[in-house]
Amino acid sequence: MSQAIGGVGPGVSVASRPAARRSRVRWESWELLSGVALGAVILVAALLYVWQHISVVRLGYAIERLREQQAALIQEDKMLKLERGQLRSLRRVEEVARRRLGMVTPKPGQVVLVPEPTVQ
Amino acid sequence: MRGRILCIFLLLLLSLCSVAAKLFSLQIQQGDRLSERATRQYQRRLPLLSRRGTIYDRTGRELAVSLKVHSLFAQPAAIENPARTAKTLAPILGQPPQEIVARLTTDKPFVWLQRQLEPAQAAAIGDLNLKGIGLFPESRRYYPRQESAAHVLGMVGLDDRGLEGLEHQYDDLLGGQPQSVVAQQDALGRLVFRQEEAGRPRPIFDLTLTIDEVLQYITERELQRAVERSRAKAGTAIVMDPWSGEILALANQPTYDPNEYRKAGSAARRNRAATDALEPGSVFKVILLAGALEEGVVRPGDRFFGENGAIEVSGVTIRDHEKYGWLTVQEILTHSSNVGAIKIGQKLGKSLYYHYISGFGFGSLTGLDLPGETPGLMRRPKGWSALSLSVLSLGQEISVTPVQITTAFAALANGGNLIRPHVVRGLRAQDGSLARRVGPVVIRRVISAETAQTLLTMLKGVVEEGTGKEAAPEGYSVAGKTGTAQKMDPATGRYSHQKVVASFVGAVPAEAPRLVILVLIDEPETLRWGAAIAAPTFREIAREALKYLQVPPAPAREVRLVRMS
Repeated sequence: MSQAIGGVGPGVSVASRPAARRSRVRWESWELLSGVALGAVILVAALLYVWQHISVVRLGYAIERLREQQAALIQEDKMLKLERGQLRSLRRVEEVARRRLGMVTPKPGQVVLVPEPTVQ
Repeated sequence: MRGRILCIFLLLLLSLCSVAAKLFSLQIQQGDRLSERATRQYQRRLPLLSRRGTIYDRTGRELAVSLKVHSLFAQPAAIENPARTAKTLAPILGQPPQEIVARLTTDKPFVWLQRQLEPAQAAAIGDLNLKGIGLFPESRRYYPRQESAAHVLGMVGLDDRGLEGLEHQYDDLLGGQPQSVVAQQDALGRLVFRQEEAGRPRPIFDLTLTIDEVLQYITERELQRAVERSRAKAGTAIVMDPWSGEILALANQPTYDPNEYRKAGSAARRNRAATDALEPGSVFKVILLAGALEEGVVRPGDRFFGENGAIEVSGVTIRDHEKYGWLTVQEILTHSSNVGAIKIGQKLGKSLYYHYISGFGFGSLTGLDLPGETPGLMRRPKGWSALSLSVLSLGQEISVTPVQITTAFAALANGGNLIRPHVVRGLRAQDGSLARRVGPVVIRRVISAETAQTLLTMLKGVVEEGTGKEAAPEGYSVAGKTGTAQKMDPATGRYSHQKVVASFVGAVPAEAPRLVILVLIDEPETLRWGAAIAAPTFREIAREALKYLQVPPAPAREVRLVRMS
C-alpha cells in the first residue's frame, strides 16, 4: 500500500506527481486567498475605524456649527423681544395713540362697567 | 563574517540607545512641558456667559433682560499704526481719535477701548478685522421699559453684578457664576468637540414682581405731572394691595433710565419711598385716632372744644387754620384740627400713643424686600419733652418713610392687620417651575376689625366733607387723609413756612378697599397743600387704576341687559 502511494513503480510515480502538485497548488492558493481575505478584513476594519473617526470629527464640526447657529438665533430672538418690549413701552404707546391716532382718554361716564350678576 | 555581524549588532545597539535616550528626554525630561504644549494646541477653554435671570412684572411682561454684547479691547504692542487704527475706530465709537490714540500707545499689554458696544458697532468693528483689536463677549442688562419701575429694579454694573434695587437685593439668585468648557480644536482653530464640565453650576432664577406695569405707568405719569405742576423738588407715590401687602406700583420723582444709569445723579437714583424719612404731618392723626378709638379713650361722637383755633402747650402756641369751637372727633379728623388732635393725644397718653405708633410699624423696618430701607426716627417716651406728646399728635418730632405710612394705612384698610410690604411675588427656576412664592405675611394685629371699620367710615367723611374732597374719583368713595407737614429748616433749626411736604393717603373703594394709595409731594413751590396737589393726584391714579382693574363704581349702577326677541 505504501509502495503504491510512495510511487516505487514508474507507472504509479508518473501518475501521482501532477496530483500532488495540484494538491499543493490548491493548498497554496487557499492559503493565499485566506491571506488576502484576512488582509481585506483587516483593511475593511481599519477603514471602518478611520471612517468612524472621520464621521465623528465631521459630526463634531456640524454640531459646533449648529451650536453657533443656535446661539445666534437665541441672541436674535432676545434682541427682537427687547425691541418688542421697547416698542410696547406704555409711554410710547400713549404717545402714538394721542399724537398719531388722535385718541383721547375717555371721560368719566363714558366707560360703564357692567356688574356681572345683573346681566341677563 | 563574524566581525561584520558584531559590527552591525553594535551599530544597531547604538541606534537603539540613541532612540532610548531621545525617548527618555521627550517622555521623562520634557514630558510635562510637551504634553502641556500639545494640549494647548488642540484644546481651548471657552468662557461661557453666565445668564442673568429675567425680571417680569406680575403679568409676565419683561422688565429686565440680559443680552450678549461685545466689549472692544486692544493689545497695543500688536498695533502697527495706532493713528490709522484710531481714525478708523473713531466714527464707529463716537470718540475723538486723539483719545483712542492715547489708549493705543500705552505700555500696557491690554486695554479696554469701550465696554458693552451696541450690536451695530460690534458688527462694524468685526468686519474691519483690525490687527491688535478684538471683541470680547460680555453680558449686558437691558431695561426695555426705560424709566418704568427704575427704583424697584435698580441696575447692574459693568461686571454684571447688581448695584441697586432688586438687582442688588437678589443678586445671588439672579446672577450666575462665570463658567467655561474645554473644547478641542483643529489646526485652523475650528472647534471640534466640547467637554461638559463636571459639577453643577449654581442655579439662577427669574423674578416675578408684584408690580403691575400698567399701574406703574399710571402712577409714574400722574406723579410726574404733579411734581411738574407744583414745581416740587421731589415726589413719591405708592399703590398697594392692602390685603396681601403686594406693592402694585412704586414711583419716585426725579427718576432715571437704568439703561443709562451713569448719566443720572444720586438724587434721581434714590428710592425715596424706602430710604427717605420725613415728618408725616396731619396724616399721622389717623394713627393717633386709631389708638384712641381702640383703647376706648374717645368715640366718634365725643366733643372737644377747639379753643377758637389756638392752644398753648409748654409755652408754645399751636394754631388751627380756622377758629373752631366745639368739634366732634369726626369733625376734628374732617377739618384736621390741630387743637382737637392735641386734646385727643393728651387723653390717650404717652405710653399708649407710643404703643400704637410702634404697633403700626413706625420706628422699625417694614421688611420691604428692597435695599436701603430706613426705619425712620422715633424716640422712646423717656426721651420726650413736655411738648412731644402734643406735636407727635400732629405728626411732628417723628420721621417716617412713605412705605411705612402706606403699610400702616393698609392695616386700617384690611381690618387691623399690619402686613409685610413686598415687591417680589415669586422666583422661577430656569425650567419655568415655581421655586418660591411670596405670600402675605401678617406681622401683627394692631387694632380690632371694628376700630378699623369705624376709622374707615370717619376717613370717608374727610373726603366727602373735609380736606380731601379733591381725592374722590367719580363714582367711587375714598377713605383718606390729607397732610401738609412743614419741613425743618437746617439753617434756622425752625419749621419753615416755605418748605412743606404735601401728602394724601387713602383706601379705595372705601366700602371694600382694593387699593391703598399714597401720594407725597416734597417741597412744592405752588399748590402747597396736600388737598391742592396730593389729593387730585390720588384721584387721577385711583380713577385710572380702578378702571384698569375693572372695579365697578359703588354703588354699582344697575345695568340690565335684556335680549330682544
